[in-house]
Amino acid sequence: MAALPRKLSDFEKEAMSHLSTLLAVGSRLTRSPSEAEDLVQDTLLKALRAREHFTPGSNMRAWLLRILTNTFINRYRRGGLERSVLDGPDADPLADGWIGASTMEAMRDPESRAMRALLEKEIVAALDELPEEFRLAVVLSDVEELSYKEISEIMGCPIGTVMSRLHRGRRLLKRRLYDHARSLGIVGPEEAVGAAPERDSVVDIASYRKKAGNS
Amino acid sequence: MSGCRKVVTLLDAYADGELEPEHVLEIEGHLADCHGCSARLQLEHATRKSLRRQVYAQAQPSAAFSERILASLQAEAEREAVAELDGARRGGMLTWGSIVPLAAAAAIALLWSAKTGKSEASVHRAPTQVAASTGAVNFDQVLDELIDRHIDRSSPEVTEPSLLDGMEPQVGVPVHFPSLAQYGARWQGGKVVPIHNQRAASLRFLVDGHRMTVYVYNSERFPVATSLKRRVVRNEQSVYTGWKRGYSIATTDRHGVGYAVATDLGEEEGAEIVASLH
Repeated sequence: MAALPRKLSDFEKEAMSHLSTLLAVGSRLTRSPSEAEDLVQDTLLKALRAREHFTPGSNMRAWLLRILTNTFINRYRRGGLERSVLDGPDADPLADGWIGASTMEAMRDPESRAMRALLEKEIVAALDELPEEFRLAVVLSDVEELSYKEISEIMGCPIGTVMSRLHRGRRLLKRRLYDHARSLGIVGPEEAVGAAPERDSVVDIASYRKKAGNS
Repeated sequence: MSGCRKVVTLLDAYADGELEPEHVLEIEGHLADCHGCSARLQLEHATRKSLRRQVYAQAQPSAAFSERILASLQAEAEREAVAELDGARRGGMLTWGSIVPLAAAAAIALLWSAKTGKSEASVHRAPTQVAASTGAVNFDQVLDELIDRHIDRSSPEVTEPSLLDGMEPQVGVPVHFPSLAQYGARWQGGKVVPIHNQRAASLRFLVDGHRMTVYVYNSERFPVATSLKRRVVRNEQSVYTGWKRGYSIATTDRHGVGYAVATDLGEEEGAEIVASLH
């Protein structure tokens, strides 16, 4: 019997079905294709050795992502994930009303309901500029669509911390995309932070139409 | 607008589906009236859509990488097996891999014996022919398996609709994301499941709070329908429907691709939905 060629076990098959997820998340954590591949390999080997700790029927994807995160921290970040340089709750200057409705609309493509193609091309680069804690939270929530509870288990922090990392990470990401949209001329300049949205809209629509007409 | 500041703090949780119901009503009321906040929400959705697409597009596992991972997992499992035999630590316990090889061998046998040439649902195969061609398909058992998979609550492997195409090599027929929005179906996620020693794509939806599973499979390998009632729905299409264990099953076949819908909705709904698939 021992001489038969070995077939994949159920565990291996299920683990392999999450390969693209692990590589996608690992690539954003390491920001390096080859390091991401090594990280995924380590993760799956650890998972195989620890498979008795996995409860069949529970969420294997979330379990594997927890191992991936811990493996990344142990290998590259002994002191934990790299923290935000902007300390304290909402100490950054990006007040929530900083961007006007028409600007937000100009950044989207109404047909595909995604970002405009020129901005979408830059979105991974913009994500990669976020501090690790924010970047991982955003990937786990916005790309992997995990719940706050699952993310808190993966990142080893309370749910409130997950929410604040998400909030700030998403805001920083939009700030980068906005800056990019400005440099491409897709949107016009915003009024000062806190300006009345109505006034912003008028200014923006006018400048956007002018730009759109020129291109 | 005075409510905006409060709504903005809840908007993330709302978009994440993590908001308490009483706040949901409040936010939706505000969104209906406030252009600024609804633009903010739409930008949030747009960002996520682009992010999902690009993060996956920029990190596709290459064939070489998949092989390398597979080889390292197998090497590790073999190393473990040898260590177990040596230590004789866990005598008598079944391991994960003990049942799979037989099933895989049976699947290959079926693949080689599958009949070719027949396709349309209208050409109805007699049960005896079916048995001869695929090695005694017990149709009732196939229905049971479809229902077992339907009530299984394990989490999906794939939630990004554009990645469903990747199931094609495993399932052996094209797998596309079916647009069922007109039936109010909410996408939950998909996975590849074994049905009668074959692989089928299982796509999970919620319709009005009822679970619904759409299966896509190679209909030459397990013809479904023999014990179901035939009915003709729109565009003269033949659909077979029936009940089992309290679930309704509807199935059809298009050019060799089989579709089945298992749901706790009624027979009519299942027939209508399965007829819309292609």
